[in-house]
This record gives sequence, C-alpha cells and structure tokens, in this order.
Amino acid sequence: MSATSGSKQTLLVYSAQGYDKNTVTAFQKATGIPTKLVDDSTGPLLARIQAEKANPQWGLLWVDGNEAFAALDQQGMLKKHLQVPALTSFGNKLVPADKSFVPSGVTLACAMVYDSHAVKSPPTSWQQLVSSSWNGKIGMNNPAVSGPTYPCVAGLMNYLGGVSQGETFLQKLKSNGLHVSQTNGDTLHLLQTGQIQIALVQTTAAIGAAKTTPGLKVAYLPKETLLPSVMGIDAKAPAAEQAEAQKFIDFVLSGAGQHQMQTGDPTGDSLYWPIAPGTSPLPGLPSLSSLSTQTVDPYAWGARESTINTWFSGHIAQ
Amino acid sequence: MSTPRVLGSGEPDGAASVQLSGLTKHYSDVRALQDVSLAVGRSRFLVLLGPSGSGKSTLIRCLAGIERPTAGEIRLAGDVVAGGHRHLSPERRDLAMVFQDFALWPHMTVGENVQFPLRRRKVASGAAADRVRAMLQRVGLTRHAERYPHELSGGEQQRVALARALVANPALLLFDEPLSSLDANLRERLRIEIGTLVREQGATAVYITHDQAEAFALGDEVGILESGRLVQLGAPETIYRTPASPFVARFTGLSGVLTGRLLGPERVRPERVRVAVPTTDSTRQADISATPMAELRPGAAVQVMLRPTAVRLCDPEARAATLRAVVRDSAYHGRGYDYVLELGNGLELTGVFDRRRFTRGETVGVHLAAEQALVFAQDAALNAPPLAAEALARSAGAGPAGALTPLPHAFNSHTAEVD
Amino acid sequence: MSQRLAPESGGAVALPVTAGGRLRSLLPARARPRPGLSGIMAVLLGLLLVVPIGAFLLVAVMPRLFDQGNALFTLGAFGAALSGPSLHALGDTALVGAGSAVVAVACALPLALLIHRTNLIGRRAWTVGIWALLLAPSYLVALGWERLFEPGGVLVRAGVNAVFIRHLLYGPAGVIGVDGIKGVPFAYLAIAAALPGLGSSFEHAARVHGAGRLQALRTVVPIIAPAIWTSFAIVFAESISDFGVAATLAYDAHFPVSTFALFNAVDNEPISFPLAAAIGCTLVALAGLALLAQRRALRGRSYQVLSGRTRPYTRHRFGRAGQLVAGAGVGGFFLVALGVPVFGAISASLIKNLGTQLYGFQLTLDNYRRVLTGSDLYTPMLYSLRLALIVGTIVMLLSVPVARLLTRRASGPVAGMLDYLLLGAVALPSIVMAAGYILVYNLPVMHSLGLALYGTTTLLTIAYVAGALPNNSRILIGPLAQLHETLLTSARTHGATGATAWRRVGLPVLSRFIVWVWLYCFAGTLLELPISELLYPPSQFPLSVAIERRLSTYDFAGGTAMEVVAVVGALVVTGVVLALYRVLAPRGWRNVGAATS
Repeated sequence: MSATSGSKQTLLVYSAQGYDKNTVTAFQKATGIPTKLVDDSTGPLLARIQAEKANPQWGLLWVDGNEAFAALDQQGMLKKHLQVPALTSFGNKLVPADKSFVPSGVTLACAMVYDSHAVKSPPTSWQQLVSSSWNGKIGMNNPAVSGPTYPCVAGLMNYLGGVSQGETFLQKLKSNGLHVSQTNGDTLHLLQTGQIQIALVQTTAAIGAAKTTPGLKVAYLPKETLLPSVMGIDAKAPAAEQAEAQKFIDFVLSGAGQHQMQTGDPTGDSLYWPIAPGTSPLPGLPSLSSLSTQTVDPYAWGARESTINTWFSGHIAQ
Repeated sequence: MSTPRVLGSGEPDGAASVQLSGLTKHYSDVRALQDVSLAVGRSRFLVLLGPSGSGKSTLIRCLAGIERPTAGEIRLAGDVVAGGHRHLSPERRDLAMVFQDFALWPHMTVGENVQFPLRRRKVASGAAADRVRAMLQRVGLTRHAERYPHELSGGEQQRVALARALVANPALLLFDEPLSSLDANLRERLRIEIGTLVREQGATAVYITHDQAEAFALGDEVGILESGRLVQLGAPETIYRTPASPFVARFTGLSGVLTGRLLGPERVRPERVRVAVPTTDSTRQADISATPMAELRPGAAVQVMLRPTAVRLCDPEARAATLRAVVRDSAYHGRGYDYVLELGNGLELTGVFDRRRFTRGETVGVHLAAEQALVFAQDAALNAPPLAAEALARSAGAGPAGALTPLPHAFNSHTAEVD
Repeated sequence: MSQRLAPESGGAVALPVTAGGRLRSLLPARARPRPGLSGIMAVLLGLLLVVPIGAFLLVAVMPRLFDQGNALFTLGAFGAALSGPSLHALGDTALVGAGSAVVAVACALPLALLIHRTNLIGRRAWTVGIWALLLAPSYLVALGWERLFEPGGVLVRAGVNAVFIRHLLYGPAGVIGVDGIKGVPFAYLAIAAALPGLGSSFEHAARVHGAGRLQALRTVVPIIAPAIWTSFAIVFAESISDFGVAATLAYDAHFPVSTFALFNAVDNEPISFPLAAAIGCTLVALAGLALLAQRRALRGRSYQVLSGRTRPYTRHRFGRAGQLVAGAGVGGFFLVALGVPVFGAISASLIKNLGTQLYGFQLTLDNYRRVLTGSDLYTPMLYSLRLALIVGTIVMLLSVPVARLLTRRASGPVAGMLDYLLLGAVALPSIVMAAGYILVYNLPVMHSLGLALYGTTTLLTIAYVAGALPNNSRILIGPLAQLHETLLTSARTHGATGATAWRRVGLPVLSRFIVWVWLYCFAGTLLELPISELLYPPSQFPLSVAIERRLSTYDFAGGTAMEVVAVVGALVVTGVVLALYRVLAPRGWRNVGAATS
C-alpha cells in the first residue's frame, strides 16, 4: 500500500473525525497528493496502529485526545519537530515541547446533556452527581472504548486531586447507579429513551444532540477538561509520505481546511472551537472563554491511560 | 359397490379376517384405487399382483392404516377400521408389516428391532427376550442379535424384518414387495421361508408383488390389480387357465401373442375354437385350435395368447407342427433348454421349454396346445391382423356370418389338437 | 487374468491387471501414491486458517515474536484470561453456548419435521423464513428486541410496560434466547439435510408394530442423531463465537461474554493482543469440548441411510385441526424469531427522532429517502455485493471437497485433524481471525515475500473465505454423509473418472445443498461485520462498515434503513437464485430426497 504510485507517494490518513472524508477529498483536490482514508472510532484506530506496530501502514493519525498522542510519542512512534502552522495563542499552548503533534481544534471532554422535561435544574458541581437525587439517572462512556472519554476521566481525577481521589469518586458514582455505555451514541440513546436523564459526553456530541433533538439541553460543570483534536505523523513512514502528511497538517489549519472541518459534520464533530487564527466557531457554541476549563498534562495522563482504563473496565463498567 | 368376493373355503363374510368394500383412494387427481372389494378368510394367504402404478401399494398402505381411504370400508376380523369417519391408527389394528426397503431402524440392534412390537404390546421383558430369541432362531439369526442392521447382508436384513413382523403373533401380516430388492437366489429361498413361517403361524397374510412367479408360488388366492381396479381374484390355477382379460393373461406369463381371425362356427370340440393366423409366407395362413376366453363372433379379429406351456417343439415336417419357426436363442438350465423362437413378421415366442437340443438358426416345427392358447378379442387399439390378402377378400365376400375357409395350399394347415 | 498386480500397489490382494488402474483409484485416499485431494486441501486450509490463527494464538505465549511485548515466552496472558472478569465471561459464554444449543435444537427439530414431513400449509414461506433468519445479522436480531422492550422503546410508547419480559431479556435468558433463535437455522439445515435419509417406512414400521404417533417419532428420530449432535455442536460453536449479540444485548445487559472481552482486548485501550489470543484459546478449547462430546455421542453410530434402496418419503397429512395447531406453532416461532426483530428494524427505520421519548411517534420515509439518494449506500453496497459474489462462489467450490474429506471414512488422521480444525475455526470468533490476518500479513517478512496484502481487497476476500469455509463445509457434512459411497463408486466403475463421477453423480445429488451454501455464504458476506471492520481497505467501506458508521453517528434510523435495504437486497438475490435453480436444474437434481406429495 505504501509503495509509490507514479511519482507520488500515497498518504494514508487514519482518522476518527466526522469531517475527515470531505477534508481528505478537498486536500487531494487542492494538492494533487493521492490520499487514502481509514475512518474508524478512536479505539479501533489505535488498536490498528498497535497491530501494525511491526510494519506501520499509517502516515497521519487524526483523532481526539492528546493523551493518546503523548503515549505514542513516548513509544517513539511519532515524528518529532513538526512545523506547526500559525495558531491562536490558546492553540499554541496545546502544542508539546517536542512538537510531535499538532492540534486542529478544541472540544470539551464531558459536557452534560440533559432531558429538559425531566430535569429542571441540572447539577452545577461534580459532587452533586453522587447525591441520591441523581441515583440511576446519569450515564457516561467507557474510556476504554470511547477515545474522548479518557480525557474526561483524566480531567475529573486531575480536578479532584489525583488518581485515588478520582477512583473513589467514580466508585461513588457507580454506587449511585451510573450507566456505562460504549460510545456517545449509546449513552445518548439511553438519554433519549429516558433510561437516564443526564449524559456526560464530549461537547460535539452533546451540542449536536441538543441541536437535533428538541428537549435536550447542554450544561457545563466547573473545570471542564479541554479535549483537542490532534494530528500526528508516523515516525516510521517514508520521508515522502511524512512530507505529504506535513502538507496535510498545513492544509487542515488553513482557511480552506477549516471550512471543510466546519461543514463536514454540522451536528457533530464540526461543533469545535477553532484554534486557527481568523476562524470563528459555528453558531450555537458558547464562547469558550465564558466557561470554566482546565488543561491536563497529556504526557503525565497519557502514561496512565492503560492502567486507568483497565481499572475502569474492571471496576466501573462491569 | 360390488359385493365382496369371499375367498377361501366358503366362510361367511362375517368371519373373514380382512374385508374390503368399495375401497377407493384418490390423490388429488390420481385415482390410485377404485372400488375394490374383496375378503380374505382366516389364515389365508392373499397375494395382490400388479405392475407399478396399479394401486397395490396404496391398497396395502390403506390396510396398514398408513393411508386413509377416500371412500369404502375396511374391516379387520369383523371390526370396521376404516370407513366413514372412522380411521383406526396403524398401531391399533393388530397387524405387522414387512417393507420393501426393510425399514429396520438403523440405530437399534437386531434384537431391539425384533423386540419392538413386544415392547409396544407390553409383554414383560423376560418373556419378550425369550420370544425374541426363539424368533431369531426360527429365522436363523440367533448369532446376530447384537449386531446393527447395516452390518448384515440384504437377505439377513429381510429375515430380521420378517422376525419383527412375526414375533408378536399379529392377526394380520402385510408384505410390501418384501423380496424385490434381493437377488434371485435369495428371493426364492426367502419366499419359501416366508410361506412356511406364515403358515406355521396360522396368520392371515396380504402380500403384494409385481412378480407373477412369486404370486403363484405363495398365494392361496391371487388378486390382479390394474389401474386401481381389482380385475380378477382367484386361485392361481384358475387365473392361469382362465385369465379374465388380455391384461391378466399378459401379466401372468405369456410366451407370445398371435393375432388372427376367428374361424367357425364349426368346432372340433365345444370348448375350442379355430383361429386363422398369418404365417411367414404372406400368402398363407395357419389354422390353429385354441380356447376362447370370451364370447366371440366368427370373423372377429382376435388375439391368441400363448402360455409358455402351450408351445412345444417338433419336427418341422411332422403332422403336429402348426407353425414353423427359427431358433433365435437357447438357454441351457440343467433340465433342458429355454428357447426363443422367431415366427417371422417380427413375432417371437419366448420361454419355450424343451429337453432336446436345437441349434440357433435351425428351423423347427411349433405345436400349439389348444388348452393354453387363450383367445381374446383383439385390442381395439390394434389394427386387424395382417392376414393373407386372398383370405381377407374371401372373408369380406362371405359376409359377416360366413366362415373363413382354410386355404388348401396353406402349409400344414391341420388343426392341432393335442390332449 | 492370471497376471498379478505388482506387489507395491495391492499387497496381498490379487487383482486382474487390466482392471488394476481403475480399482486402485477406488481404494481409499491414503493408498494412493500421488498427493490427493487431502493434501491439496490440507495445504490450502493451512494457509487460510492454520498459519494466521496459529500465529495469532502464538502471540498469547510469545508476544515478542510479533513485537507485541517484551517476553519471549510467558503464560501471563493465560493467567489474565483465566482469572477475574475474563474467567467470569468464559463461564457466561459456556452457559450461553449450551443454553442456546438446546433452544436451537428444540425449535429446529419440530420445525424441520413439520416443514419437511407434513403437508403443513405455507411450507415454502416458512423455508424462506428460515433463510431470512439465517441472513439476519445477530446484532440486528438483538437490536430489534431491544428496540421493542427497552425503556422508552416501542412497547412502552404503546402503553405496555413489559417489565417482566424486559427483565428476562436483559439477562442470561435474553442472550441465550436470541443466540438460540439465531442458531435455529444452523440446526434446521443440518437436520433437514439428514431427513431424506429418514424414509417414511421407518416411521410406518413403528406404527404398524404398535407404536403411537409420538412413540413412533421417538423411535425414528434417533436415526438422525448424527445430525442432531452436529446441530448441537454447530450452534454451541456459533453462539460462543458470536459477536453481534455480545456487543449489543449482552453488553447492555451487563452480561459479559468472552468474545466481547476479547474484542475489548484488541479494540480498546490498553490494547493487548496476547490477552485476546489467550481468550481466543479458551474459546477454541470450549469448542473442542463440544466436538469431543459430539464424537463420543456418535461413536459407531454413523448411519449411511440414503442409498438407492431408500424410497421417497411421504408427507404426513394434517387435517384442519392439525393444520391449525401446527401452523400456530410454526407461526408463533417465526413471530418471535423474525417478527420481533423485523418489526424493531422497520419501525426504527420509519421513526423520526428514533429512540426519543420526548417527541411524538412520527412516522416518516425520510430515512429511506436519505439513504437511497446518497452515495453512502450505493458504493458500499456494490463493493460488498461484488465481494459476496466472489466469496460465495469460492466457498461453494472449496466446501465440497473439504466436506468430502471430513466424511470419507478411510481418510485417516488428516480428516480427523481437519475436523478439529474446522470446528475450532467455527468457534473462533471472526474478529480473532481478522486480528491474526493483520498480524501475519503485516509482518515485515510478508513484505519481503511480496505478500504485502494487508489493507487490500484481496486480503479481505481471503479472510471472508477463510471465515466462511469452516461453517459451510460443516453444513455439507450432513448431506454428504448421507451420500452412499456406492453411488460414487458405481459411477466410477461405469468408466467415469473421479472428477466425472463427482460431476455426474455427486453434484446432482448434492446440488440443492450446494446452492444453499452459496446463498448462505453470499448473504453472510454481504453483511459481515467483524472481519470487515478490521480488514477493510482504506477508503473502501463494505456495507456493514458503512451501516455501522451510520449507527455510530447516532443516525439509528438511517442505519437501520440501510440494513433493511441490504437485507431486502439479499432476499431478492436469494429468491432469484432459487428461482434460477428451479428453472435451470434438471428435474432429477431437484427430486433427490424430495418428498412425494
């Protein structure tokens, strides 16, 4: 697959973004670089990369969550010192020191989307979630399955002061009847069928659901964890493909690329906060600065991802 | 509905073991059985003979209770088991059956197969085991009790089936072409065994087959089925001597068929007629004496059906030689030879027995015994016999009542009458 | 006549030399000097199944070989697979396998008897129902049930809060029930294939010798015991390797089973191929136990009952009351087995804002309009259609010789090994096989060998074939076991070569079943999910992946509409193929084993 076709190397993009298809098409059209897309959920894509470790196929990975990239970087699987295109100052804060990955936009890891008919006043703090009034009414995803949920869990632990405090809190949530599903879709389905009243999901999913389903509303808890969409380049890819991947990054953060990102999945992933200068968020998104947010250290939390996910699967999801 | 004909030693209807009245079975548009009535006396052995499609299988399956008749009535030992709205299921008819494909349950041993009817009749296990052992001994399979059917030969399998049918001493035994899937040698041996065992047991038996020899060898009575109808019923000898129709004659064994015209009215003996048949010489015809099976007018187109026993070989120049023929084939079998003779015009006589040896191609004289030369009206479907042109002209000139005069130059045109 | 064969070809057996060649070709395979069918098939199956699966399972103990860990040899993965949640899942899996096998056989046996041995009205429709059930992906069946009974589901909206059924459904009983219903077609096909050998005279013999209707049934049903035991084994293996129900109903019911544990291990963080491989090993071992049990049950009980002597069977003729009762029973089964999921799927595809209880129950065709006008359906549909045609044909051609190897008595250890291998492969979840393909075909050595097939349609096709072959071969075993060896040898003694004998005698006798295999394989490939998910080539989405994309982007209605369209398409192809077979196949082919009315 990575053999040269004609004069140009084919760029293979692994992506879990809702807008990846049209962006790849536009990129190919704009640059003439032959590009192929493997579109899947974040978990399966990372699994694919692990399976192919001995002989990597991918050229560029584009998924949500910088922890996964930090983990890949720690395994030496990412090309370092990428050329980072111009970003907003907020965006620049998300670029790691070794420049091994580049963010393309920002979302929040766990917003609350709730059934406004059943819930008149949604919780306003994390601690309220474990009160008996919400018993059996809250759902979230399993971070081991749903890529964007790990940052939510990591952010929660970070906010509460550490892993053990976080685990205690999650145990309490579980005792309070927490519903754990695989993906955003499943959790939202529980919400839409009245099995739960509050879903903790990524903002793109939450705002999208509220847009398409009347009666659903979005609310935010304090210290929402920032969840960037990120691109990284395979360290073992041929130099030509790496160069093409760099061009892809440049394209995505250009005006044309941003247009594709904002139009590809208007009720889902397109609902992100841009970090490319000169691009405004889609209407319906609250101003990011109006929300209370936090950033977690991707390297510290990326390294803990396996352990925490295993713990979550064994203790909370069962 | 015809009155049931009761077979066997003039027993009254009520005592008949099996009694069918107007039995009819239709499958959608196929009339498998039409208005069959008969009765079988106790301990009698009835064989139903017919070609495939004649309805014999349907009849025996109706008897067994596997099929439900469309109309008519079946009585077993005087009780109605089928008729009107009544249909007694097979297991309540106190009968047993031997199947063409044996139908031995492959997952049961020989012993288990034979024991089955006893278990169903709630015979205590000790007594049942004894009876199974005794039964297997009678059919010579004692050593095979623990084997599975597929480990036995075809003949042994059929013996197991026979043992299974006999073991519970049922009032009625049914045989559905039990020997048709066995080889000839075995067939004869088993046929004898079946006859012996059934008669020892004193059971009433109904046996169907398409094999005439088997039917005549086994049956106290033989019934002939044609297209779902019972066309004749009687002792084997009666059927052989006086078949009710050309079909029955054909199905119960013929050497060949000659077509001709009835001569007359003068007769050598009252029970004989004379028939003019063509010869190899298209200008001549032979005049033979034969036994009429129906009322026929002189001049009628007839067929002379020759039983194998009707044909004897003689010197072609002998007085007794009615016809001449060429030996086409001979088969030696110990006591003598079976010949196939060619009469010309594509006519053949088969199964002609003679102790003497004739070589292939040799011309022989053929003498026909009048008693076994059976005259029936010509089948409507066939054309008039190809008689000599001259004879036809005369016959036409003589008018309907006129007799055909034997041609003076017809070779050996003597009336053959040998007693 | 007095000449003798050379010693090496006949040993003590003296044969006339003129007939020697032909007679030798009639000897069992292992007596033949040239590498026969067994050899070729063994190599083929080796490449398709043994190497990839073997490599994958090797990862469990030797992760370093494939760069999946540091240990050269470790039993750690097995330790993990046989403790904690994985062990719990294994126990659940065994329960589901055994339970669903019982459910499936208990339903399939009466169904097969009623449809094949009676004049039950609507037999053709019921047969189509069996096929539809076979085609329906297990996740579709499971989701149909969930849609109806889940909180806020269709029934709740209709004012029926079937709490008790929901309670049953979301638990072991529900998982066993759905897996059992999905297993019915497997058991049905195996049993139906054996029924022609159960000539009516066996039953009639029981009746005339004093057995009532039920006793007669009890007497003759053991004749098809091989098919029944095979059904148990197949359904058990199918159920323990099923992923569709595991990922939907079982997951939602918090009833973890092994396939899902395995999936978690390869699909989620932290990824562990060694753990997945170890779980795969435990599943294969479980299937091995099923095979052993089947073997023990069948010891010395292989009845070759379909020979020239077997007469066609006649159907039992029901009266009006019998028709009513039997029809209600069969109808009831299909109502539960198909009616529920079909209703679930169709209602789901017709509802606006599916799954929400917040807004009214609005029916719309909008979902179909969206699906039929966009290219999201057509491109994957055509791609999967093409693959399904190819895979169906390849598997059809391969499954006959494989099944023949398995049924030939004298083929020795090769057949025995094949049997274990194929049953093991049935039990091995497709997703494991796909993971094995990734591992093997992605190795650097494959690239240097020029076999860089990973990420190509070719590899996807091969994986489909490898995934479908074991099951389809096993489906053919029943009918082949019934094909009396003399039917073939008689053809060969009449001067036909082995191949001709097969073409002229074996093929006609088996043609109906071979057509079934093609159809089953075609439909299975059209909607196959686990292999497609792991092995689809970049930018080329098979139908199931495209549907899954729809579902995962919360477009349940659109995804279900796509599913409905795909299933309808598969049914249309089935109908066309069966009609063609009716028209084109010689009468004699179709009549083999058919009932006389």
